[in-house]
Amino acid sequence: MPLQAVAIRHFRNIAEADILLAPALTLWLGANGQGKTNGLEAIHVLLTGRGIRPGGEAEWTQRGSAWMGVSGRWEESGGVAVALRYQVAWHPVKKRLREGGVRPVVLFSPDDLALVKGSPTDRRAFLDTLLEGVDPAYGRALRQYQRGLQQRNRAIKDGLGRTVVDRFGEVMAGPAVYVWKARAAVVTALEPRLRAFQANVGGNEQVAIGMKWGGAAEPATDPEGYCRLLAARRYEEEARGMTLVGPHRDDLLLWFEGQPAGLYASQGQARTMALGMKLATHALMEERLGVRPLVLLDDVLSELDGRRREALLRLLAAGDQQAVVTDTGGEAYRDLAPWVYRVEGGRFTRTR
Amino acid sequence: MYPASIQALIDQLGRLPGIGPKTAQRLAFFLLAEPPELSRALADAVVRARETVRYCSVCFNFTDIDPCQICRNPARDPKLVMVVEHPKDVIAMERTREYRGRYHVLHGTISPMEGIGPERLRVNELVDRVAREAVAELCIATGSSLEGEATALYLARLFQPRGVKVTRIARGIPMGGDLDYTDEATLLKAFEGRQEI
Repeated sequence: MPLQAVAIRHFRNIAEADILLAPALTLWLGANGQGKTNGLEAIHVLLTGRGIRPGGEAEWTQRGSAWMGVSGRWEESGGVAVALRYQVAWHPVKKRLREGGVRPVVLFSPDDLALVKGSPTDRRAFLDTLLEGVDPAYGRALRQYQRGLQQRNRAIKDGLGRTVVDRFGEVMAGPAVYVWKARAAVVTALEPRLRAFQANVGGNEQVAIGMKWGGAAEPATDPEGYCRLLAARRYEEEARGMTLVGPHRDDLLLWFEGQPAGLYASQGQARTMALGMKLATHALMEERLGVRPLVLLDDVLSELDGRRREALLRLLAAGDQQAVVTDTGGEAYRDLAPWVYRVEGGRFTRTR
Repeated sequence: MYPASIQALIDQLGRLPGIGPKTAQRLAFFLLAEPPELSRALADAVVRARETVRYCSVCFNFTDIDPCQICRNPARDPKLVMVVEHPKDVIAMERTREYRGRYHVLHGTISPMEGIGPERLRVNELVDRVAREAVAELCIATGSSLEGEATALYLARLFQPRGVKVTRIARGIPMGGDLDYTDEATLLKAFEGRQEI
């Protein structure tokens, strides 16, 4: 049970809330605009220092209040409890007080449907965020690659010739191979977890994931291989004025019953799959970081049918991860969650 | 809000690298508070430097005599040339007091995004120089940025076919540095460049 208690003060519409969280599943129920997502955002700010919607400290502070604060007790995997705090006072001068570092979170919000229905850019962002969170060297390789890519594209467009274009290809090659290897490994690690989730919560439909490698049938395994792939498309690159091979053109493929999920899965099926991908990252982050992330699921139940909702809540209630789930529904499935709060006008009241 | 001449001084100082509005203001008021001789000496030094300093016609370092002190020193080995990005890199290397070769200053790195191709650097001059002075080894000491690396590879491909030995300065762990504070990329380079002892 990582996060035991959280105290929220003057955060968006929440004036004051002291919330105890269950070891596994806590359910927050309430109508739209009552403060459920604000509560999740407060926890997200406490653990990561970042919000989950546009806006920063000024927007987080309740209108008319001179300060905001979120604090909580986090239990490390060894059992030691540490105090976390994120507090901002605005008068007489702005002052931020932050205690405790960053803790891992898996957040699912309605926007994450883009993982299935969105563009390759959305799916690369999913992989990049996950990998940067567990491997700092990945972030460095990716930034090196992107800088090299910009330089190389400009060199092609401005006709600087092969003697320059190829050298930028060579300096990008190491980072490109690093990014490709990391993406391949993470997709391999996620797939069995996605399948297990689908079997539990989804249905009998078969799901699978894989990579479409940018401009290559197989990813290069060494820098020389990447340079050979570039060389093979030299004339096409010169004609189109850009780099055609590399991680910047990758896509994460999601298959549903052997068909592209974005085109064939229903809204509820797509949401189940996106959720499965997010929850699959949980085990991976725990494995790589040695810390169990907190799971925040915002408004995920609405598009699922009764059976899927029940299966998801049962899975979370019995799971070894700690989760907070929000929903607009009434008390219909309150029996499935050990702890239930009713959220109304920024107030959190425990009803179970 | 300031008299025009003070504002003009602050504006000019503010154009220097690393000088923000606050510092520019502080420098301006310092100059005004000091005796006029200081301002005169400073202005004089700026103008004289700007008018007498030019590029060395051999290595393109800044110099006030041509060729520069290093290029005209017979004790410096003309067969060994270190290629650097900027004049300040020459100063840094000279501090070692060990390097006995000469230099070639590119004045930048290849950066297509900034419109800098090899023709904007002193590369053609280096080609001529290598042929003219029968240079045996070029040591490429451009920075470890992506552009520095690409420039190093560019020069290597250009000069290796001409029978010149092209070397790259080693990268690795700084003296007195700890392994566990060194990032993976540097550690990997340090391992690749390991030497038998």
